[in-house]
Amino acid sequence: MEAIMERVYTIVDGFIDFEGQKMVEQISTYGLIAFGFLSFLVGFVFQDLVYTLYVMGAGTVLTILVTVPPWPVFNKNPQRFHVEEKEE
Amino acid sequence: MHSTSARFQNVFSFFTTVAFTVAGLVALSSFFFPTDTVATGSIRNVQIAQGRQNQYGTLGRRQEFAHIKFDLHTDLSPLFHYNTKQVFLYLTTTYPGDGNKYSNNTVTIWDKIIPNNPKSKTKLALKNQRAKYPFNDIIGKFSDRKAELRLEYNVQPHVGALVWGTVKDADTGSEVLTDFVLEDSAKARKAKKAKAEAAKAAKNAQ
Repeated sequence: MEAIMERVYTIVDGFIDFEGQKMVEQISTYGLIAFGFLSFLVGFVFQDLVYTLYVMGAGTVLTILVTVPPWPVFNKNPQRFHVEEKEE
Repeated sequence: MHSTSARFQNVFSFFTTVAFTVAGLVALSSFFFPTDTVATGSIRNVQIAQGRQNQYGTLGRRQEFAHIKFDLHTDLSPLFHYNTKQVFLYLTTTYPGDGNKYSNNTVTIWDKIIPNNPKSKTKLALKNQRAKYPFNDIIGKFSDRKAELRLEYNVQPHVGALVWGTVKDADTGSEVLTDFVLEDSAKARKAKKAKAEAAKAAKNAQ
């Protein structure tokens, strides 16, 4: 039971390492800004505000899918802690 | 950003900022579209009739009402761009006050909402159209005052500021499409009667 709960916690928490956090920060910031400009341009060029909504919505969903789950790429540089010396 | 919930909150929070900025860009971009619209309009017929209006269940005093019929041709397609939700079009008459106590009047006599969809017509060609709203003056008489007709619009966008404007006359470039006289109905009736009697007298004399 405890083992199962531990697994559930790992999935729900989804901890990633410091390098991964930096990547997520950059991907989400630049990704959302890029999709924002793209959505405006698409709506303006095609003269339809619905396109703006769709592009922005799709871009946001994509960004969330890329950044929110703890993908293995975000855990490539785990922090190594000093191992406690065991006293016998 | 270390856990799933923190990442989701951060991404969503920044999304709202970006969405608001995009909305701002869209609102600003609407000012790039010119709003030059032209129209030609004329008054077909102005009927000043005496009447009493039903006011909250009782009949009001006897007074003059102006019933107007008009022709109107206009092309409003410049007002429709990607950020236009609908255009509220209204025809107003402006006429001076009684020269004593009351100031000038502007009355909406007809209006139309044109939504921005492929089905709606942005070019209007109205012939002998009856005004939606007959109007009366505060003193109850129009006494031959001169009135002007203007076509005004209000562009309602999806995001951004409301824009008001007046359609210019296609020929003169003026905002006044046409002018007309709000006749004194008693005087007009008397003149008509006199004319009829004169005709009768002429017929009898023959």
